[in-house]
Amino acid sequence: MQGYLSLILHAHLPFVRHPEHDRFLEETWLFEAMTETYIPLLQMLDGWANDGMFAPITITLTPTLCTMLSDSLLMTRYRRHLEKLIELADKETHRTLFEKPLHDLASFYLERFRWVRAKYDAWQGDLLAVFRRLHQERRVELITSAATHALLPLLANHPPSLRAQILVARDHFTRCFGSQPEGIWLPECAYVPAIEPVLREANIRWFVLDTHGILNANPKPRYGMFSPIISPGGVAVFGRDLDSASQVWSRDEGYPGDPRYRDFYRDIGFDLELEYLKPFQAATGQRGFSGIKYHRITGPGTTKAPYDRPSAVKAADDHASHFLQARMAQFRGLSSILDRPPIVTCPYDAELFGHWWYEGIEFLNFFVRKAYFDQNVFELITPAQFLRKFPTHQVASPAASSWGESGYWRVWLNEQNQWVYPHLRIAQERMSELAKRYARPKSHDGSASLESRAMRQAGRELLLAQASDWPFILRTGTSPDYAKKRVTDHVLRFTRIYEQLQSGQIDLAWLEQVEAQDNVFPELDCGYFG
Amino acid sequence: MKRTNPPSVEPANPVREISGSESAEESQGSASPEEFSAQSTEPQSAAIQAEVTEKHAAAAPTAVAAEIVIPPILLEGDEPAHPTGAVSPENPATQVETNSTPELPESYGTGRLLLAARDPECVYAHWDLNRQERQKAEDSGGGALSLRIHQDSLSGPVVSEEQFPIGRSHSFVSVAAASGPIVAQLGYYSPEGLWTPVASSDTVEHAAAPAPQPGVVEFATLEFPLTGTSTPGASPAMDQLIANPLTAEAAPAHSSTKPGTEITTALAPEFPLVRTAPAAPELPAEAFADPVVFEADLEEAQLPLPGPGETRPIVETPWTPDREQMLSQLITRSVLRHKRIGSAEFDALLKAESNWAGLLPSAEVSSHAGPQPAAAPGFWLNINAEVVVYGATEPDSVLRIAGQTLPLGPDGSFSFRFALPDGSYSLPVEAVSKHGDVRRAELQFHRGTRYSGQVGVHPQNPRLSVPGSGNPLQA
Repeated sequence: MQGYLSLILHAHLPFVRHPEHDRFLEETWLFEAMTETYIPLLQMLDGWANDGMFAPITITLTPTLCTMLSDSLLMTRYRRHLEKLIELADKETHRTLFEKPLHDLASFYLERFRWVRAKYDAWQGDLLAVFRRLHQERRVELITSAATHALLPLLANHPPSLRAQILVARDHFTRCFGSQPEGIWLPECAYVPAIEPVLREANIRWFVLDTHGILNANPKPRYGMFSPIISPGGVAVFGRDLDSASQVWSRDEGYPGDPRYRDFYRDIGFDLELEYLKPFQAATGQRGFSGIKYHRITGPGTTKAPYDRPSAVKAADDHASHFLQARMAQFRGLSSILDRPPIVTCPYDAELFGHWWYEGIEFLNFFVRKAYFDQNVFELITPAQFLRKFPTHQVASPAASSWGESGYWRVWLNEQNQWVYPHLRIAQERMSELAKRYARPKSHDGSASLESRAMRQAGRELLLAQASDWPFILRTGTSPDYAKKRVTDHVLRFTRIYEQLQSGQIDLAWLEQVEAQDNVFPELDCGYFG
Repeated sequence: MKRTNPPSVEPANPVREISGSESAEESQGSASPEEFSAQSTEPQSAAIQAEVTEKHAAAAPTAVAAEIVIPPILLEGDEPAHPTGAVSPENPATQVETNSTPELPESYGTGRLLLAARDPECVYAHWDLNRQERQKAEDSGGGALSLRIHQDSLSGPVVSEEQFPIGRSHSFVSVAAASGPIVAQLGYYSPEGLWTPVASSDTVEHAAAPAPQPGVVEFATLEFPLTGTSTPGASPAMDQLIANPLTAEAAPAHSSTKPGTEITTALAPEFPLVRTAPAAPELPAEAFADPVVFEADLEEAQLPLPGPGETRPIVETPWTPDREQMLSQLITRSVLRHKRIGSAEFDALLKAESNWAGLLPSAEVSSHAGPQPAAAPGFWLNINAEVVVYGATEPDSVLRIAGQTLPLGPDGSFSFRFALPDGSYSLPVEAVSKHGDVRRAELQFHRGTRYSGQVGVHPQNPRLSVPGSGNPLQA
């Protein structure tokens, strides 16, 4: 055995929950991810266990994602979404009865969605419980991320916000999984040294940075990104491997662009008659992705060939073999140079596998199985397991960095989204003011006072406004109106609570309404903002 | 978060290059928040149009006997009736509330200046002036505000200064010349040239990646809590995180740590630590000279994997310059492979015996990127130079620098960087108004450098061109 490979899947969705609407388009982000990524992923992990494999991987479950996965309203809606999906797939089998390639695919989708429903029901709709079991069995190392996935370097000038994002996440993880997280996924791998004291306070032992965050460390890391460094604060830092990242992520050379794979955009939700789709739409009168797609990437140009599922699965197998061979060659090369076992850190967005890259779960499954059974050059490991085996590492100060475009914070701070930050800055300072003034207010009977409730909700609104998702969406232009509305709503709700606390006149009915809608982090400790 | 953006646009890939449009957008133009639209937009498709047409046709009175209306879908072939993406799924209609939503305030009237580092070359500044303050600046400052970026403190040197019309409230400012803490001051110049400050920012840390320093390599040993759990809210003492704090002599000042040496250096003032380099295996002396023998010995010395719960110190052998060079080349090749640079540049960087330090982020080579000389023993200095050419003209003019037409910001401003190696350069600049009026300037630059002692060339963005040739980079 010549080294170790750490596979890290970062599962995150922003908190999207709209009880004020019966159906809401953006809630389908969660439903699609559950159907195409999270449930197949859990099934894959259970499959490894059933086959006697011990191939540990690391998974981030962000606090907002965990909150949604345990929300009864959203899970009820997901069940409804699944039923509609099955019904639509069934209709498709009839509509395409005389179109063989499409009919085969429609049948595939019908079977697939029924399978997802069966798994979901078998787990009683509680995916977190399955993740918890795998974590306790040490087959998966679960880690957390910032409370609402805020870009932490942009909060560095307001340390209470840094504390709140990390400590609220730690508390939430502990409640969900019964133990503190040892690792954290810094949102977008965005790091500045100011974050470290809070990581120490949260007892976080390791995190991951993009390659240049390690390579630009001071002093120069002897082993590059092939061994963690220990920051001056005592936290281990792993660096993303470039080659394995590029083979999966790269637009030009990455596997997901193979013409045999399913085309993400050619969805019947945009191809078929609106009237036909109406009963199955995520939101009234709104076209959206259905998850039923009949075409493959094919190649350049607008003409798309029908999706050939067996061929696509074969492609996933081929790519898994290629990826395995590439990693084996990498380890052989590294082990001939390094004087210690190298670790190759491979982090990816979890939703890449299954959702964006439909055959991604098959690729993962093939790769890990091949790695487990067909070679002995490297072994899968989690960062915490690696640190327990090999606790001695070079001390170096990581460099400010992110894995976003250009390597810093440009994606989240540019002309399209800069307007967000002045509002956040004011709200953050006001929150600290509130936290100091209303430190643990109690009513006469010791219960939480109305001020305490209002303050907690103010904290929730601020955390939700700080999500990096909104400036990201504003930058990419995918749902800019929604992103802008979210920032606006949360800042305005925060401001209204702030003003009501200042005046001493809290509108209880309105507060209850907002509490019911933005119901993250019920036990939020507002002292973190003080 | 990439929930609505597929990885084909590589949101997390450091090798993605910055397009010209992305650079152009970071111009000095103001962009106040767009009006919130209560109406969601829904791209029209041929299918939708057909549906609407059908409904209209059905509603229109006709004297002809009723015909059988065939649903359009049955008339379509297997291919969709419209080209791919005619109903652009990239921008699915967002469900937003149709009733009006309050807007965020344009100003809080705090009079404050917000500064945020964005990357090694740029900071974001936002100023929240009320009408009175703006009017005062308008009356006294000739209609323009100035933003100064100081190094370290307000009494430190000015590393960047830009002017803005009174109506602006934010900007992205170049700070390529800065390092370490920076602070900004907003103000205006009186007609007599006197500086009047209006607001000052907090000090922020510049996001520049410090140039990695050669020197002492130190190791530390982590210790995990035995129980694997701890009480929420309790912060472990640092000496619980790092094993066996002791006091010993300082580390020798060389680039590798002798195996078996105990060295103590405080990582942070309050946390004394022990760093131990594990003992090396007993290998014959000649093993260190011959890499082939070394590899064979490594294989023999390879230990079986530690069992569950078992820790084992990493068996280390001396880290030789050969190993360092080999790893450096391996990493450099990996980094350069993902930079998509030209083959000539690739060869040049490899031939320069570069190590990887400062080569990333690979999507856009930073000002620290490029070849670095191998670290020499003893004291050293790296140096380099750039020049920034900036100005403004009428926004609807055409700007040419060295014959190349270059973009202007929405307010007509421009700012470009050039490399400045030793030599003499001439840079013609020309602005042509929409009416054909021409204004020209020719800037002359000269750089000559005298070196004394071990002085190297500090890494520089290889995309920078010298004045008068190539495409300048926007500053």
